Amino acid sequence: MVSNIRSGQNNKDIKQNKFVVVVSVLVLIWIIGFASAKIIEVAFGEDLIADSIAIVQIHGPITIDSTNTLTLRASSSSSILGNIEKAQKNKNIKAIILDINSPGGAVVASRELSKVIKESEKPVVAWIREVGASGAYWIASSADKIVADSLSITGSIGVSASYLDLSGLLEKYDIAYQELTAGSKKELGNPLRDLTSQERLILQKKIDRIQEVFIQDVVENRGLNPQQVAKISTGEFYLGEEAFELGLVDIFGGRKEALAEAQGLANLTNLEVIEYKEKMSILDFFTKTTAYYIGKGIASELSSNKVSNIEIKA
Amino acid sequence: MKGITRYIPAPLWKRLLAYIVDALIIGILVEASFIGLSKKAFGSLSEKTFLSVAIPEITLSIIIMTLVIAVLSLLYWSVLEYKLGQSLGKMLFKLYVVSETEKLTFAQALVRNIPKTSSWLLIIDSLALLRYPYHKRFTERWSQTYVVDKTTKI
Repeated sequence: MVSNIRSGQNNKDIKQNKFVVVVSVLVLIWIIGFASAKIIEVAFGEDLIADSIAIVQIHGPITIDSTNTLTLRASSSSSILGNIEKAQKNKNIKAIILDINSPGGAVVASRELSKVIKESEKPVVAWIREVGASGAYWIASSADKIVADSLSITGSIGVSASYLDLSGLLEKYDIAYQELTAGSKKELGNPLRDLTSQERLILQKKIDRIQEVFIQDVVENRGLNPQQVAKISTGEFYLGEEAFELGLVDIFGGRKEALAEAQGLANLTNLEVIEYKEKMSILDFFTKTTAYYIGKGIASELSSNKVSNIEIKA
Repeated sequence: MKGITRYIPAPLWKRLLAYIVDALIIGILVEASFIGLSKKAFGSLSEKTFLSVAIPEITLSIIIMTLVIAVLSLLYWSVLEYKLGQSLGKMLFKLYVVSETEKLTFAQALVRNIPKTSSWLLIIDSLALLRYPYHKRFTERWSQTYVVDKTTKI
């Protein structure tokens, strides 16, 4: 009787041990499998895509480097260029869509993006959403096709230069500003004094030259008549439907139409999409929102070692 | 003869069914983690590209995935057979792996299960079943192990 009970207990123990071994092995294998899959996905994730269309976001004012901006929605050309390069290098990406919602911005940033897009071996479709004006239109014009809503704001082919004139403020509070410079034009754009007529002329000449290049690029990119483009390049913005009439836009529509156009240009049978957005880390968030005010401050901005306080935008 | 129990080598059909059960378990357990990833990886290879001329990163990721799945499958069979003498599939059909020498070692369990990492290797290894007695695969001969059926005693 006792030996029967012992034997029953032993059998129970053996079964329990078996169960523990089986469960442990299965759990261990599952954990290793799951972890390995995650590691491989992180390591190769971007390359593991089927023939796809990349959507590169250009949202907010265009700047060279996003760390210099106060707003969170700015698009830095460095980051966009990085995304375009990634899309160019990935052999599985067959076409690129520029998702544009930007009023334009820095001249060089806009132009360098425009150049990269023009040189792209893959078809590029610009999809203008709410706004794709000025510098953003400069970029869009280099794409193979431009898709926009009939009410999108676009065009605005023009250049502006602005600076803050604080000379009146100093006068009001009887503050004198002294600066020693070597070179008669070194103080051009100093916000603490008014521009001389000669300085105005110099500035205007430079802005006119930028406008000339802008127009020339739009003419080349869009294959339009130079006189016609010069005529409409007053800085006026156009609604999508007006832009279409003027030859500044090719197709009315949104994401669906942009994807269809890119698919057609790349001869793709399937429609896989990969989105490249400007990545923002927690560190970026804090540096963009707080460090600007804390670190720089308004006073340091005024006394910063800039070439000029004049901001030129397209 | 009292006190000695002899078992006959397991019939092939039982071994095959046990293998199918094990393969299903591994499929669910391991390959489920990789299904999304492998779909992406194989989807990345266009119709015109073959593995050898495909994009290196994709080829490499497919090779790594295959290796990980193979190693995990090998672990499943080897550890369970070494610890319990049977995998889950074998448990279902009351089959045991036994050593011809002494107690089954991990090395023996490992060697006899290597072909299960690849269907081609397993097919080649199983050709021996047709030739040798006691239904032994090549790797079972090398590892000096065989599978017995404990439901049938001599």
